[in-house]
Amino acid sequence: MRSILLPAATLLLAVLPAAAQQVAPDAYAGLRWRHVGPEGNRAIAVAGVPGDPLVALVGAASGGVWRTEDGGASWRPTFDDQPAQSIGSLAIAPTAPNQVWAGTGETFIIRPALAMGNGIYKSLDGGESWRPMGLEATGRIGRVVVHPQDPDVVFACALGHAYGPQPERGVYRTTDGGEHWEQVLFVDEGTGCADLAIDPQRPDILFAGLWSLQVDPWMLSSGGTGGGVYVSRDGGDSWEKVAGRGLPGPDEMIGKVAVGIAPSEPDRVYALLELDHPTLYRSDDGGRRWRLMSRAHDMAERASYYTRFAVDPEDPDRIYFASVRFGMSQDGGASLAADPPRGGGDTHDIWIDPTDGRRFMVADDGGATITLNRGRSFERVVLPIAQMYHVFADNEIPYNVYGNRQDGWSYKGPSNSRSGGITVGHWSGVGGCESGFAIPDTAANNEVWSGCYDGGLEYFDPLTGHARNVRVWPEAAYGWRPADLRYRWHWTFPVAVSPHDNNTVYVGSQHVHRTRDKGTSWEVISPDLTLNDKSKQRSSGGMTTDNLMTFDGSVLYALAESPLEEGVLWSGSNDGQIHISRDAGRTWQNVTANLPELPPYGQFSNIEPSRHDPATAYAAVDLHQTGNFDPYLYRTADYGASWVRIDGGIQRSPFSFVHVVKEDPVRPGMLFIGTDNAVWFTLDDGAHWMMLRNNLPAAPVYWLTVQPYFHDLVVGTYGRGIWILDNITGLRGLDSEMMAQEATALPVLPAYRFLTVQGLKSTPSHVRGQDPPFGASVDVWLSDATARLMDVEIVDGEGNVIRTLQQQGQPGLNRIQWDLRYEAPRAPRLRTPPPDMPWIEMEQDGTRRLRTWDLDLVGGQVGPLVVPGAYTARVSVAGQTLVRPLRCSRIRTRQGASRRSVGRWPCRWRCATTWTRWAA
Amino acid sequence: MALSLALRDDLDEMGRMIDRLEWIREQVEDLQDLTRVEADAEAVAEAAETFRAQLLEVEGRLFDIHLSGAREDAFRAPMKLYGRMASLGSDVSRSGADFAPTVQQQEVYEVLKERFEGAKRLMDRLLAVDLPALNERLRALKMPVISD
Repeated sequence: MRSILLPAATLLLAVLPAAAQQVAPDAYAGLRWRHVGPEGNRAIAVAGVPGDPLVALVGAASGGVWRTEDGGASWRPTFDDQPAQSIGSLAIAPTAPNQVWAGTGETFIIRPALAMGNGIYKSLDGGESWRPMGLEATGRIGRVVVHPQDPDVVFACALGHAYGPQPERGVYRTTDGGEHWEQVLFVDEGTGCADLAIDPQRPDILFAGLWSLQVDPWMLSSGGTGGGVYVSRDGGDSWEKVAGRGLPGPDEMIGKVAVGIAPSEPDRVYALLELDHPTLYRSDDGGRRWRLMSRAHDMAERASYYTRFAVDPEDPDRIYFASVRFGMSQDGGASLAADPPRGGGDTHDIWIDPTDGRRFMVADDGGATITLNRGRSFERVVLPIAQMYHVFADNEIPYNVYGNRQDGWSYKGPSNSRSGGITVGHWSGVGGCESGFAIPDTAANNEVWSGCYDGGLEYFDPLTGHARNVRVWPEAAYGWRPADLRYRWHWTFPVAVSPHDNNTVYVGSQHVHRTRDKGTSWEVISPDLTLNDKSKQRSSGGMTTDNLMTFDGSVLYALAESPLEEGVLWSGSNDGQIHISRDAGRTWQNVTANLPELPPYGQFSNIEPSRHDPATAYAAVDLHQTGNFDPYLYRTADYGASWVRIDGGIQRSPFSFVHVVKEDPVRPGMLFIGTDNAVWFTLDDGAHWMMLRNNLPAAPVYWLTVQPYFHDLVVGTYGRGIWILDNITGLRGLDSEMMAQEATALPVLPAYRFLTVQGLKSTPSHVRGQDPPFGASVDVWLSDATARLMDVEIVDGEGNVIRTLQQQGQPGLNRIQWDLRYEAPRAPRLRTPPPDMPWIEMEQDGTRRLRTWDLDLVGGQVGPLVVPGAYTARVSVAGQTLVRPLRCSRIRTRQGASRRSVGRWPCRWRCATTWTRWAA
Repeated sequence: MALSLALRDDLDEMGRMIDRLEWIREQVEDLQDLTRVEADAEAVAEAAETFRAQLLEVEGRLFDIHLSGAREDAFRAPMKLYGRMASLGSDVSRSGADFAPTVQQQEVYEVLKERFEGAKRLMDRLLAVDLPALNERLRALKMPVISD
């Protein structure tokens, strides 16, 4: 057993909380997040400009809109300033290609990790900028259709949030470009719109696919008598359910529905229905009579996650199906091609250029694919839209981050590549799979505990590269309803390494399991800590059963041990139960009733035992799957005997439910939370909350952690990958005492001489993570409302000024970066053109640079790197001179005294009080 | 290694068992077709159906008889002994090949093994008692018997 000591205050940085306060965002607007990766993954909407293969748009499942204007050579996010990031549909007005519509919220639904929307958005500049155009309560808009001749007439196909009855479901129409909307088709509060098609030649004719869907924390239920095919023949004024005449009867249960009209032969209409099997119907008379064409599963496996198709604009018999594997029929749906175009895996949306059927795009769980030759070959577009479930950090110098990505792997990647940028190749697998946790054992050798669905658990050894399967109960559960299983596992079941003994690891089914021998054996140390309501453990799916541990009821979702008091364990379930054990699992106490105002069936997203007080813990409860999107955050200071809500200062919105709460390891009362579209923080234990968005996209924030030695805030977003806010010392310092001062400099963290290492020699991709800025960062607070010039002197141990820097200061926190170098040698300016070359232009001031084109020169034209040691930063601003000591440290190399090729903190917490001395 | 080999052997035995059950069931279903068109055969229709149900009971313990080959079957057809044994074998023989089996792998194996033994007992009884009884009736009707 290796004991892990607990942290005292970090002497250098501890800042005691001052008076409670609300801090204006301007105070920290200068802090910038950086994206580190990994690559991928899910796109669910695609659209292009007809006839222009240079311009295309991709809508991410929870990562915004991406646009290319160079045929896919480069992609840019254009939706980052909007509060919703789930792009369920994209549509470009056929007669006005600069008018683009984005419907938000995903309608490809198979797991609880599913982003919602807040209405419809419009762009008037081809998708460069956007503005909201209403329908905020519709939750999910899976299809937007623009009138083929009149760009002001638009239809929106709204599914609803699906977490309960809702009057906003159905089809909406605007005739004035989105200024006003009318709900033109409403069936019932449990039935929304899944798909919509307009006749390109007779636009008064529309077909809609209606879908009855209910999502609960324990079950997805697809199907109802309200669903089916609906038709309007008067431009949406009136609708009729198309039942019988070849289609199922009016009272028959129908699941998800897709509809499509063949552009080249508009009387040819197809409808793909989720019945007990996927079923394709075809009409050749404009939807009056139908015949069953196929029940091939490849058209729509796992119906609620797929069920979408597109008809070739030139050939009415050629149909493409988005499903697990991209499918195609060439005979009007009678059969599926044995070797269809390879348009990606787990595909969702298809867009075909109406002017050229050879060009089409597919959105899939890996990104998007584009073909210009009717699917003979595809360009694969992989964007930085990773859906991370969690993120953890180890204690290497520089440290690595870990996390599991939907439709990917359990990843490890560097926070700093030291080679110019974090490429796709820097990320490696560490066992596990797409779901669950990846937690490094920082007290050992960075072995990793990696989870997976079905209770999958692997122990990854970085020295051998081997991941050993150590799951608690290796009896495969595929296809079973939860009630039939010995142990029930959430898609992301909890894993926790004891902060007191790295050989003790806990995982949660409905019980808490513990191993002390790296997973070779497990013991059950709790009773069932859920409600164990068998009515919540039925088969999921509805019309078609879908049991893959995605909607299991009555399972544990949160698990944690106090870092201060060994054996104090907390568990939280996805059916609203929270327990504590104060004797290492021998006895458990249900403290749920002590949480005020907590509605039933909330999911305890995580429980955060305090690092500062053993009786204190924080709990985040997520109720969004019951249709309640409010934050529920609690604090106890007496081991759960009483709780108070601390979420009063968080702005309510469809995205305000909380995925995670974490305590700052240094400043008591400082908390961070992740909601469905932002990071928030408090400096006074939840009395006041501030949104910490800055340049962070508004993707769901599923997890976060503070790396305790670099003091970085590391965030795992579900839609935009992992982001890091370097050095949060300044944020910690935001108290009334500091803010009352005209100017002050914060303590400076030790800086490492992170010399460049040999990087990966890989080809460029659309995903490249940013390294942190090199050197030492000096944070300066300025309260003055006017900008001030800051003069900085770096002084060595002997009192010599070795570097001067100058930066314009803004009110709030400012960051001055010193690159650990002496002054650079003078860069000469030439005042004459080369002899006999009078055409060489001089710059505005009449001079020109001396350019000598040799790559080897660059390193000599900057100042030398300083040696490790003690330095001082002197900042002159506002008539004051602010002095802060700083240290430059080297990381030990293989040729040095260390046995390791890179530096590493020797323990998780031990060094917290002495780390500056050690690092030097 | 011992557990890996045991799992391999069990899967091998289960595979042969499934083959045998399917061979018998195919004959029974042919017989049932016959009972629908031939008056003489009608006398054994009920017995044939009873025996088929018994076959399905045994087969259903080994694999979900509704498996159609579609990928999504994995989520709608509960995995039975054959799949669970194979899955455990995967854990033990692939990522666990360098290690002794975990305690829980051995425990799960014992659970599955016991279920397998139960299925084998059922099948033994089918072949020793029920099939001969059905064949006796078929012989009395001068109809081809079911071979095993």
